[in-house]
Amino acid sequence: MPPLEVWQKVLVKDKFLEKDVHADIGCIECHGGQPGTDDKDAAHEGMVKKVGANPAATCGQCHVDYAQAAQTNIHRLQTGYIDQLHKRGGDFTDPTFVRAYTNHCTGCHADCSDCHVSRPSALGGGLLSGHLFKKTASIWLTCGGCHSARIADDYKGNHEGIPPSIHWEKEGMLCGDCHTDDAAYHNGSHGGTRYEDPTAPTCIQCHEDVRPDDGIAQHDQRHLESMACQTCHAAGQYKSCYGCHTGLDEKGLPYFTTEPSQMTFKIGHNPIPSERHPWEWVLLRHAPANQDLFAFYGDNLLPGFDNLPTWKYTSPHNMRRITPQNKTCNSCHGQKALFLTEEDVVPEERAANAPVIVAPEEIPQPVEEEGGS
Amino acid sequence: MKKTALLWLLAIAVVFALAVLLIRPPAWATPLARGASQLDTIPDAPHQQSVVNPRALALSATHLTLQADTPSSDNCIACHTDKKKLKEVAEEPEEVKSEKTSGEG
Repeated sequence: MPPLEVWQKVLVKDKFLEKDVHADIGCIECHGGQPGTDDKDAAHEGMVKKVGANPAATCGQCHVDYAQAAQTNIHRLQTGYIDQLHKRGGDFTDPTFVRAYTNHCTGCHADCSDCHVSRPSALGGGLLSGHLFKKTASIWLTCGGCHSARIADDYKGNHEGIPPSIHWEKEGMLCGDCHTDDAAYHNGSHGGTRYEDPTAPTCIQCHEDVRPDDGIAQHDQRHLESMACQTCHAAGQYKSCYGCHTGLDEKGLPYFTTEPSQMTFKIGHNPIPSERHPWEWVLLRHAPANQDLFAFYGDNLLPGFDNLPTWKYTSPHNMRRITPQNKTCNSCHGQKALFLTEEDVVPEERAANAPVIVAPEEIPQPVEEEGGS
Repeated sequence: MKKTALLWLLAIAVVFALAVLLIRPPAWATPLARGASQLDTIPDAPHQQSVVNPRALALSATHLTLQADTPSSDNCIACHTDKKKLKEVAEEPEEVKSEKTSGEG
């Protein structure tokens, strides 16, 4: 998605002024700035570009309960990042650590306006549609603008040779069809990652007829109880990222470098078993985390790095009924390459990943299938 | 004498009416400033239900009647709807992304 020209980013549509109730409020009431001058610099003095950054004082005037929830929302506070860094020993009372976090991790934060008015900064920013407020955020520009490579590209089948999700191809479902208002966008914090959100969607909410006697041979109790749905139904590989390093350049601008991403498909042990995610076997992807993530800022800023695996629970969005690994029993059974084994993990990360690595003897043995082989 | 007193009373009433109409309310009384305290005073509502607070709408209605007192946005609108002018004056913000950044984020 090419970024907008700089003038396009701030062009207000007549339609917004004529039809959008938010236009009645007036520019200065929300954005500040100075009235009565044609001089650009003078007019912008004291102007607040992103008014959604303070939901209580702006959006919260009318949308009170949304604004209240936004104060602690996962998109706004990035509780997932904080949770993971904290578990790896990150000390959010240490100014050095906080500086590193602020410089490199807070760019993914999203306020009300980041979803309903503007394009995300990952796409270069600018107004979504001439300042019109979008009640439902654009799935490709907004949701997909941030959650691109691992979610939107999976979902639409943008990875070469891997089909899109059947939910998109056949049903044309949008993000909000599963991730409803009550879930990731507007509820308050549950204090951790998205996997701890009690309102997050589950497959079974729609596929309630999936059960051991549903006529599908693989849906026996053992498979259903021990395997996450994606393990069988992800249509193919998904993206893993590696080796993120951060720093400040000679101008003091923050930068990061990552190693080339890879398409992977790895089944492993569940690193976060819970009532909502009780399965033993889940899909894993490599997160772009490493011990030296913040080494530019100081030594050993993540002293508990090995507390969490670098291969983490993942939910690819390219779901289909028939997939390469579920075509036959032996498409999975005996297929060592599908499982995360010790040799898939670099030596310096093996301690961190010990809970999720699959021992050779744990890989299900080939079975005799009906009709031979 | 009686007529003079009436004229004085009339003059005071006119001045008072003009003051009500023309003097801008102080910053603490603007709807934006009220927003924060409003969140503290309005009890939590289940967010699955109404997302627009009726009291807030009432405030907005009050606010709309005060618009004559709020700063005009005419200059903002004149420029930000004028494609030609924006092309002339819009400038790329100072570089905020390092050239050393590489790889997928």
